[in-house]
Amino acid sequence: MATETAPRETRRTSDLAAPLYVAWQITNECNLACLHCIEESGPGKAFKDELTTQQAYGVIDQLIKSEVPYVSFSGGEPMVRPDFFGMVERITKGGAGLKIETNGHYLTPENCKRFKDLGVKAVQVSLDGVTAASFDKMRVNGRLESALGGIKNLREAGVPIEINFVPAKFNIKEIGAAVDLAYDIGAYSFYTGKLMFTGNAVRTWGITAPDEADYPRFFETLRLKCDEYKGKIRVYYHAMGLLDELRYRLENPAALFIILPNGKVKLINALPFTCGDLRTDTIGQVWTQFQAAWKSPRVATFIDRLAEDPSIVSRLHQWEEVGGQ
Amino acid sequence: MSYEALLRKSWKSGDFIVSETEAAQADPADEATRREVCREIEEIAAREAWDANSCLVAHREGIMKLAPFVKFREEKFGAVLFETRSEKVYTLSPTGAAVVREVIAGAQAANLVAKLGEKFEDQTGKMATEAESFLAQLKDKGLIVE
Repeated sequence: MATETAPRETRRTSDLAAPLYVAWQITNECNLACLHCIEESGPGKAFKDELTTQQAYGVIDQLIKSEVPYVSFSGGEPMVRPDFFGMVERITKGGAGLKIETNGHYLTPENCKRFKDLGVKAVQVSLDGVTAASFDKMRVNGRLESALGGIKNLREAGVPIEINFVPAKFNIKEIGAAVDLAYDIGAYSFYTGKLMFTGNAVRTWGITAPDEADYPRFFETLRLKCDEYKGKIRVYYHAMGLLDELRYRLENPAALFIILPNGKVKLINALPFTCGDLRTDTIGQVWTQFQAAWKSPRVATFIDRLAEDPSIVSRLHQWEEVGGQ
Repeated sequence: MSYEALLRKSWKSGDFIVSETEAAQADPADEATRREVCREIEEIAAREAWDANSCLVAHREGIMKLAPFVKFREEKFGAVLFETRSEKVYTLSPTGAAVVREVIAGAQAANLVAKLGEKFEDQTGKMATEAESFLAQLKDKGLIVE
């Protein structure tokens, strides 16, 4: 009667009436300026045409009407949006599960209690390192103690915690300790994968990219940690590189799309293609366009070209509409 | 009855009440056991607290319900269950969807299978068997709580 699958393998994505997961970058503004940021976010980096509160509420209402079961708010730093809690309240009261992806610097006891009261399903905090030396280097303007303080507040409020770790040259050997720390601070999930050559990482690759020879030990450590913490914390890691991931997605699009701060909808973070605009299109229209877009020769061609010239990922923010009207 | 056994019994029963007789029989726990049990319970409480009350209500009344992290959506082919903690998706056939609809409607564990058999005029009993097995799988995966 049931088949357990990862989202990408759910029958065919086109069988679904709407996405199962919507990853919404609600602003490009951020208090930090991380070396590896895929969105190139930072102070003063909000888009000029980001959705207004009323437009954002309109999108939320559509998500609820379409019964999208799970939504994540990210950024930039999502908590810097002045109407952030209004959006959180509207979406959780509408019945969708909500995850917040944050750098953890605004997780005051009061904010954590509001998450708890509003039924937020999880808060994912980026913790790239177990020492201030590595964390603060990766997260420019950030402080490890601020993130850890925020996580402590989440735990005290009873909000489920997830940890995200991006490896870099200077923190990759901390991976085992990072999983230990995640468990100690009460996280139930830990996510990591390879650093991707995109966003700010294109410019900082020389100081951020781990030595490829360090990855086998990195993934072996994760495998051992999976066993060590079985039943205590879920350790997820993604060993595929960007190109392998995109080739897989071409054949198996995930049942999720990405909403950009201005309402445009992207197929996947690592491609420059958009398939609609929620300021003018309905979720249903965008979902249909999403199916068509993944079949577009332009998408396949881009991925083929990426194999020959990895530098074309620098075009990720020069969006190209594909599969739309 | 040891301190640990008392706590486990209370947690399992959902009452969180220990009778005076039981309390009088309890042996003082050593500090290590007390810490370990406290840690386990704090961990469970922290992770499940937001919906603990509704889970306990379900437990006491013998009804089933979707677990707090599970979302259900009807589809043309049946339905999907989305488990938000692992972000796993479970696709359901129309019959599977019917079972979950009954769970959502608050069916009692004791008569859900019989109710489905009646509703779908299950003459052979095949559907009842499948539904029972399916419910066990859903419970095993933590997708429904009883």
